[in-house]
Amino acid sequence: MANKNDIRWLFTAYLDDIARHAKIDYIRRQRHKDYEISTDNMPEAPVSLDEQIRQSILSSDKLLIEDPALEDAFLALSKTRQSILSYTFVQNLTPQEISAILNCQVEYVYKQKHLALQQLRKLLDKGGGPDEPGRRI
Amino acid sequence: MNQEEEFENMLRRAVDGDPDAITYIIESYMPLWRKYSVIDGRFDEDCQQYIIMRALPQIGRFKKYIDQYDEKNGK
Repeated sequence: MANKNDIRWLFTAYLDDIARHAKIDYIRRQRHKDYEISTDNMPEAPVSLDEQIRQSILSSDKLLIEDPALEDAFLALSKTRQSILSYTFVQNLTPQEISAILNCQVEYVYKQKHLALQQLRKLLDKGGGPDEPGRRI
Repeated sequence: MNQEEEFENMLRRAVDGDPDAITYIIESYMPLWRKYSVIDGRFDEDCQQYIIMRALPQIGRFKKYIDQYDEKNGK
């Protein structure tokens, strides 16, 4: 039975605090972002980016993205980020499996996936594609 | 080595930056990440990613609490 003097108890309380604050911060950021997005072109039923990617990419290893804007935005990502999204959403691999394939750390996979989705959102908001022709982010 | 000792050993390694130990810690606390990733009754994967991203750099900062713990327990 864990008690308040256990190192595990201390660490769990420490992480719990971090997670709670991170969630609050995440919700604040989401709300702030909602205010920035124009509602003029909003679809009637907004679909999450993850769902858009799942729907747009066929369930094979070959990437076929039906939405041209999403395809442009996806191709503007670096090859590594493209691979991470592909492994995650097409092949349903876990971050651990992806890190083994890419020979990198798991934290790197988590970070790159997060940044890739963030970039896709930004690019889709701007209409897809990089700022400068041929420039990869 | 029992489960608690193994956890403590992995935690100490994670705090010192061992990648395998960090992975072990992140995996061990998956229920905690999931718990805080539910927004309006729905699991939000982006939120989970965000929380993990925020927690990762903080693992090393737990070292000062381990030092305090060791000092208190004469380790």
